[in-house]
Amino acid sequence: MNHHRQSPAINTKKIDVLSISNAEFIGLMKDILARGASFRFSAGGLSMAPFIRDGDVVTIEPLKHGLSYGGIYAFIYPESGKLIVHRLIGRKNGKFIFKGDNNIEAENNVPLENVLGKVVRMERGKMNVRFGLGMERIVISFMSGKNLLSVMTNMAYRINRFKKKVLLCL
Amino acid sequence: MNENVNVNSTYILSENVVARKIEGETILVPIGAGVGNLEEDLYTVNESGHAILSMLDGKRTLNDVVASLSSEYNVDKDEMKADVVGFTNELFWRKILVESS
Repeated sequence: MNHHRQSPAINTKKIDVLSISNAEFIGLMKDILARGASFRFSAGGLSMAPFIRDGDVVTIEPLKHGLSYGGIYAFIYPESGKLIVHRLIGRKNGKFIFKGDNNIEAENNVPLENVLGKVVRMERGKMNVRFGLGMERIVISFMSGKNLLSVMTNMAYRINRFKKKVLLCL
Repeated sequence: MNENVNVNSTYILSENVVARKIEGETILVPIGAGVGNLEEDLYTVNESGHAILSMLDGKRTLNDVVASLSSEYNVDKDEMKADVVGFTNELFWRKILVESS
């Protein structure tokens, strides 16, 4: 008789207490998108700031049509095997070029099969964030491609910081 | 929680649930309103639960599962039956499992 057998149990846990690797997270996302369902999760990092900020919750939808210029997509970057959520800024030799709005370097040579889904919703706290997903995405994408966006974001940040300092002095 | 499961019936994972084994635990993500929501609580199932869950294929009855697992783990049938029925019942109640026809 086996007296050391564990009783079967089911528990509830938050995703952040589970140590899920990048590969396992991608697998989970693929499984859910393959069912035709969307995938909602908290995005980390600053590469898409100010449009997606660290901790914003994004919803990824499975690809229905082709990719649209300026859209934000979740893809596996072939060079690193990592899951990235960045904006589409171009296409070359049948492969896609993505870039974080706040990044200098782009991710080149991403094949269609590496693109998992499209960001259709962004939430910051209890607020829905729409700016960056509508038609303005085309301008944003153009500016990002020319590295103008990161310069402007940096300038806006400096102006904001200066304003705060002036207000503190008054 | 009401007892709903029948030992002569077959059960299978709901098509609205995605299961994935990660580091000794099985993670179950319910798909509600067309969204697999990682911001909500997720279910996790331990190894013993996974052993039961993996046998619920819509073909084997709970009695079949009890017989198979009690023999595999050398556990008394009544003890195994209590575990299998209790666990299956909880998953059925949470709509993670459905009765297969």
